[in-house]
Amino acid sequence: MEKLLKIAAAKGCKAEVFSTREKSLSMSKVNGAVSDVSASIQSGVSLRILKDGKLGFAYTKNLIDREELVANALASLDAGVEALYNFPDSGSISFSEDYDEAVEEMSFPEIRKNLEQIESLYGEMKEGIFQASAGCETSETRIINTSGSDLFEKSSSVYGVGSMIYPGTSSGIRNIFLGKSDAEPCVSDVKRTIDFFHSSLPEIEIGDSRMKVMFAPDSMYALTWRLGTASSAKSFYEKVSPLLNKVNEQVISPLLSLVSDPTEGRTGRRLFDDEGIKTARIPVFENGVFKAVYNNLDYASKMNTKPVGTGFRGGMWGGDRVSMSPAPSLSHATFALGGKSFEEMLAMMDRGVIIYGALGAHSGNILNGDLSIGLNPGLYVENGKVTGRVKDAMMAGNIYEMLSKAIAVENAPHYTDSMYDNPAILLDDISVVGS
Amino acid sequence: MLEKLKKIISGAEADYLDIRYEVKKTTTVAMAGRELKKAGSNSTDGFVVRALKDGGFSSVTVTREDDVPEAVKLVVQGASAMAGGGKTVTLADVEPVQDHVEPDLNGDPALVPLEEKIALVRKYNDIMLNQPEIANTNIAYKEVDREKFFVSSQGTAIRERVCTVSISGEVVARRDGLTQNIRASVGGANGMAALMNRDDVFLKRAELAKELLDADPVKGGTYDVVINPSLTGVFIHEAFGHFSEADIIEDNPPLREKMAMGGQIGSDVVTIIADTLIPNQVGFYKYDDEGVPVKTIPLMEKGVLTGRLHSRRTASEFNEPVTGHCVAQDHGFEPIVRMGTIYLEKGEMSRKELLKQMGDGLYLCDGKGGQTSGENFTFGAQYGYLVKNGEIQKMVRDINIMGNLFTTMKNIEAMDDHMKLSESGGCGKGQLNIKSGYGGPSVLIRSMVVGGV
Repeated sequence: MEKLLKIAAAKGCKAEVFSTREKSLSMSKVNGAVSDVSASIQSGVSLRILKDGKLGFAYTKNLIDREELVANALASLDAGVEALYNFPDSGSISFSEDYDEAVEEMSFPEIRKNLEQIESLYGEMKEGIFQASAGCETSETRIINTSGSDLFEKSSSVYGVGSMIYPGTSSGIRNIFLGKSDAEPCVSDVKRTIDFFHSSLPEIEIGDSRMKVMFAPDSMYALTWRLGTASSAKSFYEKVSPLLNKVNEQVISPLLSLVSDPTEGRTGRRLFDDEGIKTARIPVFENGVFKAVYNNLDYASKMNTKPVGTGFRGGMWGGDRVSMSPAPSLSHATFALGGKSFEEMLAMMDRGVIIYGALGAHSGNILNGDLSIGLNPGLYVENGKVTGRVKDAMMAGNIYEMLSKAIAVENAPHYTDSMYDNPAILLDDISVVGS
Repeated sequence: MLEKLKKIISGAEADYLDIRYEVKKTTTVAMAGRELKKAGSNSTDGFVVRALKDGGFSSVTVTREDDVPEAVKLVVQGASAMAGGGKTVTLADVEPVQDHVEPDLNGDPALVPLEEKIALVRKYNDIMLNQPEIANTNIAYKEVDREKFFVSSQGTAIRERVCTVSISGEVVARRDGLTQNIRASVGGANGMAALMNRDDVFLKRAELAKELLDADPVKGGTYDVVINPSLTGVFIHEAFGHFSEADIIEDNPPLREKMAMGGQIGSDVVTIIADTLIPNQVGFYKYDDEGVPVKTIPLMEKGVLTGRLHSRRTASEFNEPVTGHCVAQDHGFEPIVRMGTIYLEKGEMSRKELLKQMGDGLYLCDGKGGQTSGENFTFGAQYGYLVKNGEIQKMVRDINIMGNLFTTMKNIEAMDDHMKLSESGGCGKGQLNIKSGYGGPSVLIRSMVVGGV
């Protein structure tokens, strides 16, 4: 790493080296039988160089020839990608509070034991299929640059997933458990999943109408994706955001606050982003008022503002961090908790659906905030009780209009795989189209 | 390299082992608006090891050669941990193969200087940005050149290079507070020729983005629809194709029953083929990532299920022939069952006749991504038109469709006589597959649920 910086500096460049090493083991079972077992040990190094206001970028998964990596970065520099920023001096940080050495040593038999514990929570299923998966991951990230930053973080996670699949389908509802050292299940969440699964077994045709819609935490990414795209510095710089000129304006319900805070979480907290900028709590929407445009080094310099620690590698689909350039990212965003319990919110639903899975959340006009998703599954609620699941139904609307109709936010968080902890959100008068 | 790989797996204690080493060279030129955002070439490599032991099956991926011994140890441990766990894995028999495959390229991208690639992207980008009311573009040249070395303990040793190029992205139109976007894409697996002289494609996409500013959001409801070839490709890929991947239904007995061979799944006008061997198509390859030669598979003939896509594991599980469809994104992933090129056979009438047969409904154009979950699917259309008495009327936007495979396949009524295959792919079934090609003719489907906004 240090040698790379020296080689780049000798060519008259400012430089940043980003490196990762990740190890994971995973196992899954279907109806009691182990179906998949896999492991992965991935590492890589990415080099960014700056010279005369231009950026060079190169990466490799296997650092054997440092000169070749620098040569690739220099060839990229010659292409003329503009970069009017410098790498930050964030000092020296070594953060490993979210790391448990024991996770590094976990074996397949231990993971299989975790799987069996998850199975025991749900008991025997008389209808449908039970899928469980469990695994562990350790991750190291180091960033050094010629400005003086030397940043290191190490984390571990153990996870478990229990999914109840409806008979004759691949659609179901699930719980995800996650922790630094173990995946402690939330027993009340599991109980609700089991209850809801049984009460939602009947398929119901609902036709076309407007009704209350609850976004369960598992489907929340469909909303945050759109809010995040609109509030990105990239969309502002390109003047295509629907939130242009709306900073400090009320754009969604006062019940809703969306916060990006990489320093919070069950594990994998980040004290610096993937460019070495220190992270912080950023209220993007506060009580429905649009407060902040988030950025990375590139767009901060273009817009003559300060970087806020939201430059991350990876997108909505994840991806190989080493091969991706840092971009403005709300990867650590979560809705602030509200004041209602899940049961109270359910009681508020005279007629409606709970969206546990959003099918096709990526195919609408995301920038404009348009959302048209298949409910997969959508649990049908009448007079505060789940009575079935809707058949072949879609929910559609524009999120700014939809989120203005929020009537309750849950007071408890739930972990999801695509997002950090999120509460459920209840919206009123939403268009649902059914068969 | 093949000899080195043979040595790595030779000592391991397992009933079967295979190892894939891959070098992946990627060249990217990305622009946002007038600004060049990324340009350069990179090379990565890595290993994927798989083992079968006592009926347990496992895989491990590693990047560093130093980690390969640990990978071999881990993969055997993993297979042992699965063994006796209720499911016994066997692999369908295949003949050992030794081969070296080079792609048939019309202009090898590896020989074209980066500056020429940048100039090409700039040219197409400028064509779009120079149109009225175009606010922005995000467009990228992507070249993925994979050299794969595969060795198995059963004597297979294959070296195959696959190379894919594309220029794709989106063009954004804006008027007052409204933004609308349209995707643009050209490319293929037969070299740089696929990218040259394509000005008309990018001009047309920019014009469509501008037209969308005047389109009305479609009203949600149930419609009869005609979908154009691009959308047919997405529809066949999402609605049926994934369901023909054996691993999707492997552990779901009721779905396996519904997808039994010989079952009447679609209407009697529907014939669907998986043909990864069509020359020059984006999905083309000769061997999958288990070293199995890919075969052309008729998946459905006149609505009757006739074939399924397999890995060696699923072929054995279903007691059906191997097909060579077990493919990985790259060296970071174990292979899983994937589509190569899949298409719906064309019909005999013209598009005009097809619209006439529909009467009232929607004419929907160009895919905007889709997703499937078991028998349910969604896909988006980039734009569409209201149709009255078979005549195309006003443009509509914000179109997403949801359906159930078994209902929808039976609601396919007719297709026109003009077929087109996609030039780029991008399926995200757990891992990205840029070699998922698809297509078909325009198709009339009755009673589709359209979400609208």
